Amino acid sequence: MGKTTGFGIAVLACALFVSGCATTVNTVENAEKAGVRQMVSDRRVVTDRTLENRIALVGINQAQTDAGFLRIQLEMYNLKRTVQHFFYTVEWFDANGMRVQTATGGWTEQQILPRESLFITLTAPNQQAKDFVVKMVEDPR
Amino acid sequence: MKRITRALAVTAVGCGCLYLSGCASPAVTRIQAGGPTAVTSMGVDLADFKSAAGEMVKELLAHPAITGFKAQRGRLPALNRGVIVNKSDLNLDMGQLAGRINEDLLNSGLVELIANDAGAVDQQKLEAFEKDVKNDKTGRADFFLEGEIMVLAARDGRLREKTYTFQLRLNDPKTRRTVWQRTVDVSKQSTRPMASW
Repeated sequence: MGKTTGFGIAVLACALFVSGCATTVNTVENAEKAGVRQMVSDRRVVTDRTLENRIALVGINQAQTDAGFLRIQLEMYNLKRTVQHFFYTVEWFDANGMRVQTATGGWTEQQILPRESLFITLTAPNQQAKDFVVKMVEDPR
Repeated sequence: MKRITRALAVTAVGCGCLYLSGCASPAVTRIQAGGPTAVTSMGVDLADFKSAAGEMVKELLAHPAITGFKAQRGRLPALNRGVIVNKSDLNLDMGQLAGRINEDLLNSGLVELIANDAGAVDQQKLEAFEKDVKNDKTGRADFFLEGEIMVLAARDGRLREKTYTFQLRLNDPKTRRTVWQRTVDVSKQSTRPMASW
């Protein structure tokens, strides 16, 4: 009985060790950047600590297209050593704070690899959209 | 005898419960259309249509061919939805994609859409005939929005994967040039159960 239990623990330890060696993402980039990101000072409301501890929203930077469309870029980072799935959506608001209604867009499912930095670029639906709210949720199903 | 009676009673109660549960109406819930709680299938879902159309339309609107048109020509560009060919293995309603793109393009106030509904076309032809207009430019488009939906399938043992590719092009009929093109891929993976029928 003792031997069986010991063997079981050893197998479990091996399994944990192997799973700890999950493939993660290595990156390399130019050290001296030519582009300067215009970072947005954001305000966050966190209701799901589990999601926050898995995927970090590192920052948001914004720019404008030549035609005057607001363009934002979300930088996400997978804090875990396993592949994570999440949904995100962006709601746009005009200068009066009214939501810009669109027939397209909505929630998008996204996969992020272990320890990966992921950049998601989103363009406003029209030139009137000035503000935005990014929503993130874990797979609720 | 008592045992038989008890067994019969239990069976009767069980049958009664099953009968009553069968009468219960199915639990139905309204959900966010294409939201995180919606069903994800191996095909193309509403969320895929909305997501793909959303990515395409916003980039199309921000493209200089559309945004710079008014400054060049003094009017908004007239856009006609051409054919979006379905080359995938699914029976898809192209209106789900093209209709949403049309709606956002129209509501942006940056383009004019040419109506191809039968009533509008018939009426315009009738008016042109009555006014004896030989060179009627009412239905002439500055751009055609055309494209296709394609599919790629892969399989590795019980693992199945399908990639649906949404591709749209903005074609200029006068110069016969493609002025904008965008491709959006939607990939899905599922595992086939060990035993299925």
